[in-house]
Amino acid sequence: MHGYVFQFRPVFRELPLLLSGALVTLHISILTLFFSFIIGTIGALCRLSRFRWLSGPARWYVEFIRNTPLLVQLFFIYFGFSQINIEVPNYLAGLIGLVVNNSAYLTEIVRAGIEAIHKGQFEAGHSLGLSFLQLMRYVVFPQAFRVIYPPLCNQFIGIILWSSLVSTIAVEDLALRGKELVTETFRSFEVYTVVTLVYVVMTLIISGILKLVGRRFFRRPA
Amino acid sequence: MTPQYVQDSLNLYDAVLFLQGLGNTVVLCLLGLGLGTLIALFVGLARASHSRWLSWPAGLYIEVIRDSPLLMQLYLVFFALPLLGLQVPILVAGVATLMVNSSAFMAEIVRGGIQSVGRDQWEAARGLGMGYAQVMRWVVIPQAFRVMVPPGVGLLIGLIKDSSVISVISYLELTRVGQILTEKTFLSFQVFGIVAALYFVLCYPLSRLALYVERRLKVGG
Amino acid sequence: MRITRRSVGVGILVGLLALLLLPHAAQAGEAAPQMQDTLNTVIKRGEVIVGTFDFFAPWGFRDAQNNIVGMDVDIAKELAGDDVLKVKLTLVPVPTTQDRINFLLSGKIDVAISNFTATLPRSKAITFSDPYVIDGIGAIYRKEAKIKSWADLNTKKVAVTTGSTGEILLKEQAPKATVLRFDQASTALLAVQQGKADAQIEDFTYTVYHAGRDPKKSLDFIKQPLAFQPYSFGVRKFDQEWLNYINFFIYRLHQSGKMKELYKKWFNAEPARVSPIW
Repeated sequence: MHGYVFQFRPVFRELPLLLSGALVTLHISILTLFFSFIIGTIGALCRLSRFRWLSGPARWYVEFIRNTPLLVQLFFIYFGFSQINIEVPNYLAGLIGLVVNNSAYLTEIVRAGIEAIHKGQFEAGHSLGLSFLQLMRYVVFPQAFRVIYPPLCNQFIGIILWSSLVSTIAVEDLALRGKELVTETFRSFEVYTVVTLVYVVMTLIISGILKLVGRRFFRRPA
Repeated sequence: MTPQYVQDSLNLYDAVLFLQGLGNTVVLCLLGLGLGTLIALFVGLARASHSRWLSWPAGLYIEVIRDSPLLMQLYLVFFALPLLGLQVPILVAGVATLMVNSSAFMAEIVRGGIQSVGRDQWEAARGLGMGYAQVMRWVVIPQAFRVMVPPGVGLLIGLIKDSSVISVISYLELTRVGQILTEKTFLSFQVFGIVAALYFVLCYPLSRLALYVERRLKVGG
Repeated sequence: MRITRRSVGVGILVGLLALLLLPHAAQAGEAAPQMQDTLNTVIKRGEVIVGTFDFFAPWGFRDAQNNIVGMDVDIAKELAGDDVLKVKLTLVPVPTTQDRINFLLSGKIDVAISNFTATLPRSKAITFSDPYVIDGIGAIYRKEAKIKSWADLNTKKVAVTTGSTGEILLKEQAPKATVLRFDQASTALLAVQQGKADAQIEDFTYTVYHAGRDPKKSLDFIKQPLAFQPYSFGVRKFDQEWLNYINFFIYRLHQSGKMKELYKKWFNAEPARVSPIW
């Protein structure tokens, strides 16, 4: 339109700036996955517990998080909490927001994994005299993990993509670096095309590697 | 001293604005999902096709959209469309983004639905002398539809949440209302609390509906 | 699962291809600049579409009834209602500082009246009218932080709006400051009000207006502007007739005393002299 000339070179000159943002994106994504997995596992165990006071709140937590948007959760944690005098710096707020959000989904994923295990396994474990923790560690988890692995990888890709929202609370990730580049060059279309490409390439490579790892470690059951 | 405008609590006009935002969110999502599903029907069919020429490009389309952030897709649609000479209002840009985004995920649901109909159904229908289109229309799609509805509702719920990102281009949906009211009143805790509650009110019933529909369809067999 | 081993290869291939090809991507030759004629378009359409902010008091913000009001809005009303145009005014809230340029370039608005500072880099993308008001750059700060000058900011956390002149000046004048970048001035202000940042760099009139708004009374503003900035209207390039019309409109706005009247209404003060003629 109106003689717009596409110019990608100014964008590529600043590729290191974008890549430094990509590093932040990866950093926060990996931390999120780590903590979400831990909290998700705890959540799953609560959900499956006999005790109402564990499974009830766990269920409500999951329902509430899964039915509200991540962006609103981030604003709530970063700005909302401040109003009631709980200060959270921006990177931490982004991390907490992502973790709280993804733990809800991971709770369901881990729960599905545990539920997929044949009841007989639990009985056998009990009759062998295994404690709860031993049962979990040696019987449940190795088998559950096979079921958990694919949706877990999917969730990780989701984390990487949705982490772009932390740019709205001043975290210098790939998305925000892109925005800064637009301010410098005024080339919004070119910048966002390149930024999107970086996300796509990152995602493709990571999911490809994860799938290879999956094939290597989880041989198909006979 | 300059005249100060201070509003230190939410008022009735703000309640109206909340409802307006809620309504706009619903409109945005229904349009986005509706149009996206139309596209997804073609893309999903292409993806399920046996021809490489159809399934590969469809696969590429699906993969690129699913592997890029919605925020970036929004910026691209918002800034790219005008460069192609199309001046569009903000609502259209928002709908277009959600349409493209949901079409990719819906296409996979469509593909799953089509592929869930067993070969024996195909063969039986063909044996009765039906053409490809007829098999599709009378045998495959009705059965595929039942498989598609639960994940389809799930996609709608996801889209309602994702639409919060459209606040970035200043479309007056629910999250944007939250930002505007926070600016006026500084009451971020209450404002975003209400916003979250309103999204919950939209999504939770839908998620129960999806479970209900899933159960009913399973029993039907 | 989603994709096969190919995806690693595809990912690398896509990345390499993009790296090699895109830098050279450009439309063959420069297309001839197309003359715009927004003035006649507006008259024919019977409507002028003006971009303002809806989060930047007192220039463009929402009142209790959630209508968009402000100094820039009143000026936009003058423009729409003047002797020649007499058209309907449509206000389009522009979401961010950056988007004033984007909305102009993509034709979503005819003119941007939104405390828009003319800068040379911005002038490469769009065209600015003559200044209609002089503002400056100021700072809102938390009382404990005791900011007096640019130098004081070097050890502090400063909130800015992406793409604003404040952000650029901050980088030049206080490069060691820790910067928090937000999309909108109102979000940056919220960060200061909540103590996440020690100060916000924004337009001077903005700092004066908002420092008094905090219910906790924890904010103050630097009394003298740190820099001076004229505001202009923003229009597209190659739009000569519209630009001429707007420049004359601005001249008339001052000459008739309307500008003084509006400035008094919103700022309870006399506007600084924009030009020796006016």
